[in-house]
Parts: sequence; structure tokens; C-alpha cells
Amino acid sequence: MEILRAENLTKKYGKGESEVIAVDNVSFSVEKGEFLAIVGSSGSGKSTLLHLLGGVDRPTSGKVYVDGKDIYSLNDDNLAIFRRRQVGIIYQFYNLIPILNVEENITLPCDLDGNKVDENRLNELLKSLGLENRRKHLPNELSGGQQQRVSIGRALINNPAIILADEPTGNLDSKSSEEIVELLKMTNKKYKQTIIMITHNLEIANQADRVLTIEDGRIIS
Amino acid sequence: MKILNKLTIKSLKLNKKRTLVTIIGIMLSTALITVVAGMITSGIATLKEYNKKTSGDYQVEFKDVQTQDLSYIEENRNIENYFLTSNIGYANLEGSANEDKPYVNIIGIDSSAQAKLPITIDEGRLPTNSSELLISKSIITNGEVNLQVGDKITFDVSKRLLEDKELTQDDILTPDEHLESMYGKEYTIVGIMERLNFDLEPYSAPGYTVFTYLDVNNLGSKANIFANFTKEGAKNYQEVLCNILGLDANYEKEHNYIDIMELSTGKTKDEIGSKYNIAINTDVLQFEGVGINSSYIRMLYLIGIIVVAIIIISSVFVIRNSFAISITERTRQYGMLSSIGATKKQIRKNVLFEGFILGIIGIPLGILLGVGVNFILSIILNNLIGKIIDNVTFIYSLPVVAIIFSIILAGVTIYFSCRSSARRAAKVSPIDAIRSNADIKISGKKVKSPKIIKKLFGVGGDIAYKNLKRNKKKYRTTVISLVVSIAIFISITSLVQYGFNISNQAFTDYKYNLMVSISSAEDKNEAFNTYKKIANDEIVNSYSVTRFLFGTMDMKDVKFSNEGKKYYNSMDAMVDGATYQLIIVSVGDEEYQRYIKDLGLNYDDAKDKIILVDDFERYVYNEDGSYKKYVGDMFDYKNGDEITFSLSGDSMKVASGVTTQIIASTTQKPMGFEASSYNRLCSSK
Repeated sequence: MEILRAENLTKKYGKGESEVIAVDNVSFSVEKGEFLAIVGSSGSGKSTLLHLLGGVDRPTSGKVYVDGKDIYSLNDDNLAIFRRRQVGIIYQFYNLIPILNVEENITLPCDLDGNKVDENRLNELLKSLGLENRRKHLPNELSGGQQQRVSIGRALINNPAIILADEPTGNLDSKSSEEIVELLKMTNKKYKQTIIMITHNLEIANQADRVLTIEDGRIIS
Repeated sequence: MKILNKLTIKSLKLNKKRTLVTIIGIMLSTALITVVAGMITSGIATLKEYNKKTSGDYQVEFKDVQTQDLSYIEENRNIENYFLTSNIGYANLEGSANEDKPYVNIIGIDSSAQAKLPITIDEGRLPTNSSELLISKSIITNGEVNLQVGDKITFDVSKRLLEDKELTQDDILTPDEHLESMYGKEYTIVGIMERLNFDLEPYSAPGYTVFTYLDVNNLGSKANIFANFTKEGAKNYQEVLCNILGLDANYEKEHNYIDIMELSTGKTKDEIGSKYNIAINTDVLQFEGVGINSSYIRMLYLIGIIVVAIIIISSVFVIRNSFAISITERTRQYGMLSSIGATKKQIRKNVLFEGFILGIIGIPLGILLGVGVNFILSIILNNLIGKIIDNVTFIYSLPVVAIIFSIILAGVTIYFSCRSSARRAAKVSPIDAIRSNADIKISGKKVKSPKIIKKLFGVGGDIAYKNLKRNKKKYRTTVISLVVSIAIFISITSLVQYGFNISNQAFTDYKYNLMVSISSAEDKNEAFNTYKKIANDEIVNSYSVTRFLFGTMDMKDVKFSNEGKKYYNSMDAMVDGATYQLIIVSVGDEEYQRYIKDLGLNYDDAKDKIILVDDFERYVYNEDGSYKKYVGDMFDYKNGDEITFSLSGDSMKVASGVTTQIIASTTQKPMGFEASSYNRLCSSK
């Protein structure tokens, strides 16, 4: 079953001489439960593509369908609500809120929605992320790997349709990287979670179900 | 608690310094508003109380109301409260030295009248029964009748009649009047009071006021009723008075309103056709906001509003800056919240919540501070005023209305301060946040810094300039802050200056406290001795004895300035045979020496010469009410010019062809002529 489809996505920055085409007429689709890796060199437009898929940045033209719904037909507020319910984003630099502890960071999307946090799910997540003993720690009291696990937890808490991971291992040593990739694979298997991951590490990319290569804003394979 | 609010509180706690500064900002602005509003309300309350004390706590007096008609006024729904006095009668004051005041006027006052009339007891106490008497001190000081507390005195209580008409204190002594005795009564003097004010005992009244106790259950045939209107009644006091006085309020309304004014200022009821004579206590009534002359109060409010507006505008900028900085620092956080799904509304609300929290802490502290400052100021003012004016206390009333007003205004101030920051935070797109560069939009254009900057400030200056140019918002904020503070400084100083100018116009700055003028004294020596007696009194610090003569010149011989010529031409005064009249003032040697010194002249040079006071401001009105203003120098005399004129005194010519030299031309006036707008020549003799 198709969960996500991009149609002729294009994103341009700047105007006139300084115009940069970051994403150039990209179309592809992702099946539910698929683990997709997007590889490409720096500046190839892969991060921009991910942001377009996640409803973070509006495209210059083209459409993105999630679960059959055109997400850019939504207004800003509804798009924000879409993001917190349907998309989990994992960043290279974690982007945790420094003054909130592990538990609060993870439950942030839930709280924003005004929903009561499902304690069972939280406990289960903390357990599978290996953060049970770190509940009340602040981000700066954790290692890089642990912080990234918190951000995975945050991405998963609302049971989103897709997880978008922007170089989740880019800032980590090889051991932690492996752990993170294992975690992602585990969630992919266990929760049938659709994952789209950006990386420039081919070794990591090869552990995915499918690999797209992007260069100069276009998919070349 | 919602997670975002929790986040705000945490970050406020984390940034203690900035939070503190913002709270202090809010506190100060609230305190300033409270102080200004509080001082105005206290000031007005003080004036109100002062006027009640000096003119009596009533707004209108109905004179000589028939006892059976009293209830009609007492029960009028527009009358808040009232008290009664009764004119018992006149009696001869044996041995009165003032031939215009041969009587005492016995008035009965009930206990509420005792409290509300402006009575200042000098010695003794108020009367408590109808054979006790409180007498006016002027009986002793002016009438030179030596009465003391404890003395018993018998009065032949009488009616003052002119033919058949009964006279009152408003009628001056006439040769044809006589007293018609009613009964004799012995009184005991229990107290001496200061002379009553001139509304209650006019200058020209023929009787000194003495008060006895009035039993309200035993009124005579007539009584005076002193009333305060209700708030509603005060607003429409003219209409209310029309109704009570039996004047048709609807028919020829304007005309009746004029009648009421005239009734209060001297016309009698018979001339107007009203039921009673009245006296309106404008000093007190004007504080109900309907005043006949409430322009002072309006002025006070206006100044207050301007000052509060300045405070609010400046506070908005100060508080806004602090929010702007807070938001800029957290741009990344807002973007991140947005990327994980916080809506614009949530973020906007979050910033407003921050303002709310700061306000919840800052406003009450500010109110406390403001109230405290008000309290201290009122103590200081009391010490100051107390030394200048007796019997005045600056009332410190907890300004409830002012506090509510301050809370609302401070709240509005905070709202406006953080609204733009809230919008800006909501606008941060998640992608900008991830890159954290929302404030610096690369326009593509090159920012060139002028060479002079690099030369003056080096590479640091160059970078700073580019930073300012690229980060327009910061640049703008800084410039606006500077502009606003300069503008505030200028507006406050000019407001103060303006205030001084207005008060100078309203109350010209006289250099003297007392002026004694003896006109047409038959015996010149006697007048001179009186002056001498005053001048040598130990309480006199400095004095000047001024006399003046008139000098006449042919209009065409006067050297007018262009402005002067224009003025006299417009008056059609520049014709052949027309004369110009100079006023020649002599101020006495002592004052002349002081005056000369003030002008920076040498006494020996100036002693036999004259000083031209050339200060000229005239208005020429056209028929349509418009006017042209002539101002500046009227004359074109230079120092050292000679001037020739004829001298004349009281309607007779003293000398002709007097020539003297003008030693200086000035706008400064000697003591005694500060308020005069006429041009004068001053000399020592």
C-alpha cells in the first residue's frame, strides 16, 4: 500500500542570477512499512527533499501526498497539526529542547496536541530506546547517541505515518551510529514503521530496503 | 500545565537577568502611571477638600426659605445632603470703631452646619445652646471692641429695615435704614473664630458675623439651606436649580441659565422672578466636573494624559525591546517547536503568555511601588505645602480608580509590547529555525561599508556596520530606541516649559507680597507717614514707593519702531496734533538702585537719567473677532538718546519741555510694576 507519493517536486531558492534549484522535478513513491534511504553528496538537495516530504518547507511547485492527502493544500496551522500527528522528524543535531528533560522532550508532540500521554506507550518506548534510567535527565547530561535516541522517541510517540531521519548518524561515532541504525530497523520491523532516512554513508544506506541516489536535485537511481 | 507554558516559565527562570530587567521595566512603567494618576487624583481631592474647608462644604445656598417650604428642597432627589442656618437678626455693636460696620449679625447654626461651614476657631469652642455665642475675631481687630471668651453680652435682637423692606448682609449700610427691636437676649461668648470668607460675610456687610446654636426643631419662620447636589444633580445643576427656584427649565432655557448666574452674583430674586436668592459655591461645584470654571482641572487632566501617554509609548519601546531580544534568542526553539508540530497560534499564545507572566509579577510590584512613592511624595508635599500655606494638608487617598486605570494601561502596554514579538515568533519557519538565521536575510545585494568607517573604527567597525546593515531588525530597534528616548526628553522638557509659561501667564510673578495704595490723600504728609510706617516695619524686607506722572509728546516726535508705527497706524493714531502719553514712574531711591544693579548699570551714570521699559504686546481686534498681534519693541530709541516731553500730574501741567537722556532700554520692570503691560519711563525721582 502506498503511504507517500511525491509528484514533480521542485524547490528553488533565490531569484535571478542567484537562483538555486535545490530539488528539480522529483517524483517517487513509498510503500507502507518501507525503509527507504536517500543518499547523495553534500548540497545535492537531499535535506531539502526531506523537508518537503515532511511538510516543513513548502515546495515551489509539485505535490506531496501522504495517505492519499495533498499536504500542501493545508494552511500553515493545519500543516503544523499534520506534522505533529503524521510525521516524526529526526535531525542530525537532535534539536532537543535543552531545558526539558528526556520524558518531556519525548512527549512534546503529544502535549502540543493536548492529548494525554499514553503511559504504556511511553514506558515501552523508553524501554526499547534504553532510556528507562534517564527519564529525568536533561539533554546536556546525555551522550550524543542517547540524545539521538531521545529524538527517535519524540518522533515515534504520536505513532506517525512516516519517520523522516535527516542524517541521524551524522554526528555520532561508529558504535553509536550502529545502535541508532539498529533501533531504526527494529522500529521498522516491530511497528511496521515507514522510515525515510538521509545519509551519505553507503554502508548504512545499504541496510535499508531501497536506496535512492540524488544528485543536483534529481534522482539518478 | 500546558507544556509550552511550562517551557516559558523554565526559560524565564533560566534567563534570570533578562527576566529581572523586563520585570523592572514593567514595574517602573506601572509605577510611573500609578504615581501620575495617583498624584492627579490626590491633587484634585486635596483641592476639593481645601475648597470645602475654605468655602464650606456646600454647592449652593438658598437664602431665606420659608420654613414650610424647606422640605421641598430637602427632599428633592437631586439634593444629596444639606444643612441649615437661620438669620436670627441684627444688633448694635456698642463701640464699633468701623463706622461702616455698626452691627453684629446673629446667625444660628445647627451641628452639621458647624462641621461644614468654613469656621476656623481661634480660641474657645463652638456654641452648644442658643444662648452661647461664637464671635468673629474682626470684632476685636477691626471693630476694636474688646470682647473675650467668657464675657456675657446682651444684644437687642432686631430687624434691619429700610422703610418696610428687611435688609440682609448683601445690602450695604445706608443712612436711612433703622433697626426694629424684637427682643433682648443675653449671650455668653464661648469662642472666637477667624473672619468668615467673603462669600459668607461680604466686605461691605454692615454686621460682624456671630454664630449661636440653632435648634433645628425650633426654627423661626425662615432659614437658609446649604445643599450639596447628588452626582447626577451636579451635572444638570442649572436645570435642578430652575426647578427649585420655579423658573421654567424648558422655556427659554439659555435665558434662565443666565438668570441663575446673575442671581448668584448679585441680582435679587425679585429682579429674576425666582422664589429664593441663591449663592453658588463655585469653588466646590467645579470639582463635580461641570464647573463653571473647571478649566484648571481640565488642564490638570490634560497634562496627566500627555504624561501618561509619553510613559506608555516609552514603556512600549523598552518592554518591546526586551521581548524582541528574548524572542531572537529563542528563534531556534520556536522553529523547532514548529517543526514538531506547534501551530502559529500556539507559539503566538506562548509569547503572550510570557508577557502575561511578567505582567502578573511586574504590575502588582509596580502598583505597590507607585502607591509607596505616592505616599512618600504626599508626606514630602505636606512638609513643603505646610510651610508655605497654613491649614492645607495634601490628602493621600489610596487612588483606587488610578490603580485600576494603571493596571489596565500597564496590561495594554505589555500586550502591545509583546504582540509584534509574538507575531515574529509565529512567523519563524521550521526551516529557518533549523538554520537559525531568521533575522539575517541574505538579500543578494552586497553590503558596502563606507571607507570612513573602516578608517575610523578599523575592521571591528567594518564588521559591526555590515552586521547592522544585514540585520535590519536589530538596526531598526536600536535606532528607534535612540529616537524615542531623544523625543521623550524633548517632549517632557517642552511640556514642563509650556506648563511654566502657562502658569506664568495665569499667575504673573509678582515680586511683592503686599501693595498699599493711598489714592487722592488729602493730607500728603499723612500719606507719607503711613508709607514710612509700613516701610520701617520689621516684617518688611524690601519696598518701593512708586509714584507716577504723565509725560505728553507730539505723536510725530516719538521715535517709534516699525512695529510701533504699524500698530499706531492701524489704530489711526498717527495724525497731526495727536499726542502720545508716556507714564513716568518713580520707584524711590532704594528700589532704583537695586533695579539699576539688576540691569548692570552704574548708579552714578543713571541717577539723573531715565530707563525706557519697552515691552510691547498689543492685539487689534477686527469686527469678526479675528485679531492681529503686535509684539516686540515699540520704540526706536538708542541708549543715550535725548527725549523731550511735557510733564503733567493729576490733571494739571507741571512743566513743559523737559529734556532728559535715556540711559537704557529694557523689558525688565521694577518692583511694583511686574504685571503692567504699559511702557514706562523709570527714574529715581
